[in-house]
Amino acid sequence: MTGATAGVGVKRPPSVLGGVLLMAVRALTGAFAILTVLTSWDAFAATIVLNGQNLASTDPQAAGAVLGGVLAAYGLYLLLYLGLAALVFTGRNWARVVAMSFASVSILLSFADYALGGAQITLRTSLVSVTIDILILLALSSTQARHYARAVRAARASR
Amino acid sequence: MPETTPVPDPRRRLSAGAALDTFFFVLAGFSSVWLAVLLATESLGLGWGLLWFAVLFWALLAYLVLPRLHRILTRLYVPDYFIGRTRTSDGLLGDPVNLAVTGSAEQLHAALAAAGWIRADDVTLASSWRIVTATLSRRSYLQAPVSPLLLFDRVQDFAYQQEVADNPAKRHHVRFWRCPDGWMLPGGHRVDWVAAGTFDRAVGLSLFTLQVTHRIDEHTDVERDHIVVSIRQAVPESRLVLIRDFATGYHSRNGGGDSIQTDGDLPVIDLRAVPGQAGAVIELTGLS
Repeated sequence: MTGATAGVGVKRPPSVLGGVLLMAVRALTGAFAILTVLTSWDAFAATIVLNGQNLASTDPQAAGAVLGGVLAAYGLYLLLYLGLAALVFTGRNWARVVAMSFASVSILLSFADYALGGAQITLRTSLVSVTIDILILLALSSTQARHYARAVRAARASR
Repeated sequence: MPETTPVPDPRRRLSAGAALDTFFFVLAGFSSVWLAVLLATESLGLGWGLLWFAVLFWALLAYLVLPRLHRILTRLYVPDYFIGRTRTSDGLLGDPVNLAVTGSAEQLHAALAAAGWIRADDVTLASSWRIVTATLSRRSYLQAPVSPLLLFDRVQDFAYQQEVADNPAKRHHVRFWRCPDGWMLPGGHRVDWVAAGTFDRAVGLSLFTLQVTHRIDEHTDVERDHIVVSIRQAVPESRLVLIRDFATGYHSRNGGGDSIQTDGDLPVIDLRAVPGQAGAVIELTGLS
């Protein structure tokens, strides 16, 4: 994973580098969200509602466990996502396709929300994350990125 | 597409992958249009931030949205075989192919160097930055890079240029592509290189993508003849085969939206000649 090539003599185009960097930014914003929750743990735990009842008022321990579980799952997802970015960087085509699928699903959900539910997408809400998803999709679906992934695969196959 | 022995499984997998790629490519195009709409909507709520947002909006439109839309559309309707025109990286029709050369790469490099042409740097972040600063400060940059144009589905092999008035905004420049093995020009003429030479007259915005680019001079034949004369003077033994009416004369626009016109003649410079003998000029005309 070092140097400008994937170790198989294929030059990595800027679009792949840009896409991977954006994926890293996406993961970082997620990590930032986790940090925000960790710093004001009680306030977030108090908002958990289960079966119409506020969990923190009846069973504070269970509320903490639920919040911890959610955060752990999200953290794991972010780690996997970073691993996916690393694989895109090294030119794995399936990783590129999976990353594009994630971005597409996220974009389509946001669009459905926007077009059908009338959700406001502004700087204060989800404009930044939607922008990053669209830029990731643009970068990784570019002809350069596709040729790179195919060339790396061909170089691997011929070794 | 050469048909090979049928190996059904990998081929089906490849075409499924290609279909998926096309799907994402087009989805990204539509998404970017939506993003442009979102940014435009957002900018309405901004006061002085509007200026900053307008720059962002232009950058998004010019460098991501419009190129992607052009790629999607030109893939559908611009022919992919040789029609005497190069294509831009967005798939638009670019500068006309107006010159051909017979000879080895060494002979071509030597002839161009002797004729006072300077090889252009490859496009990198550093060379791009240097051409921007050199143009803005009107400083000379003799090896300034040229933008990529495509022929035979690939970027030019190399480009040469001559700066005018010590400013990278104005320059003679010509891009060269090595022809595929066994490839012939329409009409059956075998050449080793084809080239597209135009004169950059100023820096401006592309009509089709709004990107910052060089605007070229309309009279591409003048530039073509300048290249031919300069090489013939430097290498007097080079032979010149002038194919009259190789293409019909036409008026059109290149990939940046600049007008171009040509009489359709195609000079072929033959550099394989014997040194010491003055090269002949042969004119090929059609029937009638």
